Amino acid sequence: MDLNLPEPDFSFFEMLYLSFSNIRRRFLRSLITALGIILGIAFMAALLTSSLILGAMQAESGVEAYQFWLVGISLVVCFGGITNSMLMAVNERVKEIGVYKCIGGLDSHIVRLFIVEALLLGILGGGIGGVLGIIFGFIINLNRFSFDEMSVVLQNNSIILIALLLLSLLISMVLTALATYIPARRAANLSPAEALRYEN
Amino acid sequence: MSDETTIKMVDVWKTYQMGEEKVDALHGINLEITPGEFHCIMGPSGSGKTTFLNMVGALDVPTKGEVYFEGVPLSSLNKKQLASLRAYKVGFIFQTFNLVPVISALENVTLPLIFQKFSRKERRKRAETILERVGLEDRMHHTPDELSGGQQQRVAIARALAGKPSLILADEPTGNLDLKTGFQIVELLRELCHETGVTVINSTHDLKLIDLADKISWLRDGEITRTQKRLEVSISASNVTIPV
Repeated sequence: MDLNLPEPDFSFFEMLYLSFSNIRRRFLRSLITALGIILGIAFMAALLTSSLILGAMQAESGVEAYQFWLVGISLVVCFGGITNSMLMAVNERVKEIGVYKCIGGLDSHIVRLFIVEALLLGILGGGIGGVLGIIFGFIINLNRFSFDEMSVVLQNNSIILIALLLLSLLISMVLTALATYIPARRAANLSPAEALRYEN
Repeated sequence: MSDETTIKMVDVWKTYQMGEEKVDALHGINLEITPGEFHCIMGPSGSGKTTFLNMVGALDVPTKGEVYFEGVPLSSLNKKQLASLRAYKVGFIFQTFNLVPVISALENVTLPLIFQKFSRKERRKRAETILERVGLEDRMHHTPDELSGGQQQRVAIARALAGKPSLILADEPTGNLDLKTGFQIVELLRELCHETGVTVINSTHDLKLIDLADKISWLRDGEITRTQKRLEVSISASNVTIPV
């Protein structure tokens, strides 16, 4: 026996709109959530920019290998931070998840909704972090080279800089999406009644 | 399928595990609810009203027994089919309103229609019509935190009705409202029930609301002690005692 009803649908566009509304309405909170990722990405971008400038100037003391290790570690730390933030962000909204399930949301819809939001947050964090990092990488070398010299280097390597920004966006999006997946999955698996009953 | 009953419950039990102890929230509920009925579940807090509604709305699974929705046993449906049932057939109204806080009243009402694959334009049109019906035409673009409790509950009613369900479950819809607003909300629910022919199950502990119900079931400690038509209840809203 069956009621013969079509499967509920939740289009990507609607998810995007809801996620966007959520980030916009809680902008300050979203920015704080993204802060961890902004710092990690900015550190990476600053170091890579600095290494680009030093390489082009043929400076004797370039960027050492251990500094790349530092970037790796900073990304791990920032992943920890963002996981924590996302855990709290999802926990805060378990009731809302219950509401979505009450009006027909599937588990997979809920997970996707949160992932879309994480990706938007990742773009925000990666974009801000990447730009800040490049600016910072420029500034820390001002005591060695003149502003004009470095400007020329950056202009000649504009494609690399764009690639660096894209890399920042990509890493940031991957990290936030990963950090959101586990708490979102867990919350989406609750029965609607449990989710509605949830107290935080 | 026979549509003689919207809901038929046969010996439904729900047992919660509270640490070591087992607590029976529902003890063998048997109940039939016919289409178009405004049914009131009356009981004190802790009597199992929410658990009862969770079983009917397929939000939770009974420990024992079966709930039939328009003749279909809910235990025969998988997770996706249950989600479809909630999307197309059931509307929920809660004590705490439970609107999505970051979007406007209008967008909240369109939410169930997203799941039913309505186009953006159709969704908007239908949501506007319903919001006008519940008297919120000039508050549509406000977010929930800019609305009073009564207005939020009207939005919730509009959201529950938007998907044209056959059943609306209202879990203490007046619990967070003052008496007058609460009465208006239940009155509105009743009007809508009669206009659209949707079945309404309304849970409450407020005996003043019995005058609005077609049928009343008395729930005590997880058991329905009796179900009566309004006319058979020998009490009036001004002089109330609970029959045992």
